[in-house]
Amino acid sequence: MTELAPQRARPAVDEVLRQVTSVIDLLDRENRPVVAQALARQRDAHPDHAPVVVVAGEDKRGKSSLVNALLAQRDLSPVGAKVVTGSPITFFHSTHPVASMLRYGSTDAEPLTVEQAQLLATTEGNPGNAANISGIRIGLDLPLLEAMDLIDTPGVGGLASGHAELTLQSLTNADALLFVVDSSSPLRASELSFLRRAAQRLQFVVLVVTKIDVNPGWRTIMGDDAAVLSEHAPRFAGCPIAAVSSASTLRALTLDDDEFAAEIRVESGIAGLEQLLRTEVAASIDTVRLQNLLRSGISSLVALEWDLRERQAATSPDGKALAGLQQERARLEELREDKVTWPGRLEGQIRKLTLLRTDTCARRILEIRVRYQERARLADRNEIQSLPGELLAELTALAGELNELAARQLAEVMSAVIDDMDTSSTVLSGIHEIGAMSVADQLMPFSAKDRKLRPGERVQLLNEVGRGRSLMGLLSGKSAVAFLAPPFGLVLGAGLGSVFAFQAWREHARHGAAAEFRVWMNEQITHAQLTINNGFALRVVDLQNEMRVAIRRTLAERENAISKSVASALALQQQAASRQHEVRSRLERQIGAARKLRQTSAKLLADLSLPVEVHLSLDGEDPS
Amino acid sequence: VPASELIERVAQLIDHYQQDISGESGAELAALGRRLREPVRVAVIGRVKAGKSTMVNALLGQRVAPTDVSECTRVVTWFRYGSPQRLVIQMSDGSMIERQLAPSGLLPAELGVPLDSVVSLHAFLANEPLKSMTLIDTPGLGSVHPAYSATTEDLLAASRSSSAAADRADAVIYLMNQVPLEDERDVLLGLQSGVRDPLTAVRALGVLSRADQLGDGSVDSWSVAVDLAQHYSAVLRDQVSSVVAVIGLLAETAATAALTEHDGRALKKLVELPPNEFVKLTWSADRFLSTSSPLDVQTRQRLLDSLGLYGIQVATDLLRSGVVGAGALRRELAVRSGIEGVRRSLAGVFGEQEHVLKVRSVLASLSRLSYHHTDRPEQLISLRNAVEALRLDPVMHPIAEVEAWQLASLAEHRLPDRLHADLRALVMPGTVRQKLGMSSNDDADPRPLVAAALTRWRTFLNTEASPTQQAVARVVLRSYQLIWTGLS
Repeated sequence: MTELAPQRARPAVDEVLRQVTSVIDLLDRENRPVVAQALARQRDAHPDHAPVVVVAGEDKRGKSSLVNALLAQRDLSPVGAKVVTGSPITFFHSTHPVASMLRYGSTDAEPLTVEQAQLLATTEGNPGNAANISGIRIGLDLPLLEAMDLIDTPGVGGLASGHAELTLQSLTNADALLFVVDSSSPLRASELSFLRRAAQRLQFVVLVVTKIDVNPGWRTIMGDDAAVLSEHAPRFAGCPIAAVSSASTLRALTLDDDEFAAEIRVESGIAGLEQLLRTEVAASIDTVRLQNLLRSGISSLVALEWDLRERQAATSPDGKALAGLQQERARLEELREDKVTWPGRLEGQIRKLTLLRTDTCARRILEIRVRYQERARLADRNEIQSLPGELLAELTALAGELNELAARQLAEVMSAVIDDMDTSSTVLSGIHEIGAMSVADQLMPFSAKDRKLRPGERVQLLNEVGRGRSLMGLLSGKSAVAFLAPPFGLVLGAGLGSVFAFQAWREHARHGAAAEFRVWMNEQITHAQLTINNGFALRVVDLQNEMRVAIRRTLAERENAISKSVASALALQQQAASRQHEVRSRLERQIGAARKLRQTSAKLLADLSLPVEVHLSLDGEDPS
Repeated sequence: VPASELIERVAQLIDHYQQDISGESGAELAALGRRLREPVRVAVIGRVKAGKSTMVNALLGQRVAPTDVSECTRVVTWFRYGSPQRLVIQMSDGSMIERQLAPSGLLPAELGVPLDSVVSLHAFLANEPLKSMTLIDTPGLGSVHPAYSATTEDLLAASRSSSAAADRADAVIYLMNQVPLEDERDVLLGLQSGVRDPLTAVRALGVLSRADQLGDGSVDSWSVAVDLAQHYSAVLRDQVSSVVAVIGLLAETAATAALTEHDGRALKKLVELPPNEFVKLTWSADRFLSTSSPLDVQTRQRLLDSLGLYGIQVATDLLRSGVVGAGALRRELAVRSGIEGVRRSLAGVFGEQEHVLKVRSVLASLSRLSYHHTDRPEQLISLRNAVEALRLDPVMHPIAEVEAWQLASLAEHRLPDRLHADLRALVMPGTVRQKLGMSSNDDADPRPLVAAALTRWRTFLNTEASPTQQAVARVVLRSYQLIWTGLS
């Protein structure tokens, strides 16, 4: 870490790092290696990267407009009534315009033009994330970007699934969060819970209330928001609130009146917000990062403390609690045994789902086939040129759509099976979480892994579709490379093959006609159908196993934990009063240690922060 | 089938059993009988501040529901036709408290009783539109106060207790604020309550409220809103019959005569400003109040409160184009607000099948009553049989169609696209030709279409349909058979 701003009396860097290290040690001692490692990674992160500010919030609250307004660029991050950001876009500083995208399962960024990147970032340009993009980067020579990276994220809470995960992912490297809400209505319960999740490891959060130009009542709503925060999420009660109007700022750019535009920029709160980001984030980035580090530590300690308290409650000599625990353990044992029916039900449901999906796929593909045959029959020579491209795009979109449908249905199946298993146990939420995670984990890389053909397969594929043409010729053809880039976000495993086949077909088509298109089309469609179905079937087998393992593991973990509690409770019952006292006071000491560390962290954080309130009581913190 | 016959048949059944069944079940039966004669019940739902009360006022043409944050917006409020005007507060201990209403009909901001013990409010108003439709204003969905949102969910979903079932809404106006959100859609689907009685296109109309706040101000918000409404109509086609755009505030102001001659003159003064100055004055709400202009600040505040920034721009445009006087201005503003579209859609969706919706709710409550009560079991069993027999009558077939559609709209029973479209056409209001997917001025013989549909559905029934889908298919086959009988 570099030197701190000298003007404020603040804890030394060493002191904070020592503190965080003791938190990590405590977490290690309390047997929480994953959390400890995550915190250690955050502590040891490379200090030189630019400050990262993430803009997040619910669907259609004006995140992209806010980014545009901050950068004083109309239409930089795609906006519009129907335009929805589908992938996180990182704007960074670059002396000449550059853009790239990263796909799931790949570590190599693929270069794009800025226009392509803008299109692919929307759900229109990349429906259902058919192109399997995990993030987009756009580099531009804009003054604010010299001071920080800005990340625009997909909205959460809308009807498109998976956006919340994408947004949370882009927060892993964030230094500050702009949480965007609308000034027409107060904070909703779902917004609040997303804010809590998003700010787990971030201390610097600004609540940005947008669209104040059209809502005369924005001051009331802003007051309501502040009240909601202090009542329901006291951690954020002191966070700065910025009331802005992005639209009004951007509209002013269209007038040929720089003075007025500057005036509006100030009036609409954008200038103030920019200033806040420059001084409080960019100029004091080292402090901000220390604060985040402390916040992250506090979040982990809060979770630990809740857990210890639960155990303490369990070891209290109250007979009822013990009986409850024993009952739950018995039930867990039953659930884990192989005689129970849930694995069978899971398998049955998933098989049914696979069949349904195959059926849907067949029906949709039949419909596409009929339509394109008809079009090929009616098309003239010029029109027929565009058919292969359209067909590929449609097949690609279909694959993406089916994926998304399957993800949703799998999640439903998972929920239904879990709900059937056991309706009263606290294990449920744990399994649900794991279920949701493994579905997401499995399906995100689903198409990415499938798209990566192994060398042998690739040769085979090329042999198939290239029909004896020189492979090297095809591979080195410039046009082929151009086709790897959008406009068609190629998602099918056959995507690569299709491109080559398309090239081959184009050569042919110079002399050919509709009949040849049909032949080519039928091949493509058959291939697509196979790829979609087989890829899915394979993935589902893995997924099913993983779900089974995950459920069993959760049950086992929970059972272990309960067993420990039961054992210590039983031991307590049998032991002399003094001994009982000893065990309970050890737990008390553990809690005390965690609490003390949390409170010293909180004090350090308070010293580091300016007017931001820091809560010392656990009541203000949410169990996570 | 004449709609009234539906009502009559159920009414006869209830009358018949009324004599034999007494006690709690008897009282419920009587309530259901009364409900058959009542207007259809339409609940207005949406998130907090989505403009629900504004919509109620606009539809009633009277400012009766408080639009600010007052106690009434936290309780379910029923607006019914009745005279003298009064407010009845239903308390959780079963008692009723009656209050006078101001001549204007506006509900009081404070009720004078502990809010926690209020179950619902019932405002009886001598208001013409209420003769054909009971409106229900609801607390916002997804609020940080879960209890308020829960009351709305209870109103929509079949609650576990049958007495609450009699208090449910028949249909819904769903206000979405610029974008439909996942938790709101879950409420529409009945997922939140865990009871699978989803609202579907038959029972719900989507409204894109705050149409004046869309876009970035560079294009007309209204055209953006119309475009977006069409888009959401497609996205939510299984949940709502259609989505229409409306500028709630403008609709309310125009409908409730809140715009005076004084306001008209004030607007006229704004028209006289140089264009450049006018643009800068109306740049933002804050600017409109803080920039110096020919109007005093109270007048400006009043204009902003009653019209909104977009409304002021529309009104001045109208004045520029030669509209004269507050009355004419109000009429024009009503047109621009889009409220007529909402009324038309309401009449089109709920109006034509209002009886079906009502009878469906009553039949569902009757079945539940006959199963859930334990007093006088022999009469209840007989009632159960009578309800089942009635359901099989061809007169009641529209109800079966609505229920089939509801089943088919659940994700796990989703029909193939073609069949889904068939069913939607059957169930939505329209002529026989429209139900067959023909345009209404097409003179071709519809019978081949019916025959083709019968084949299609029979094939589906005998091949790929799951058990639930088979039940749906049987209903649809019957629909086509009835259509066929009607044609020949």
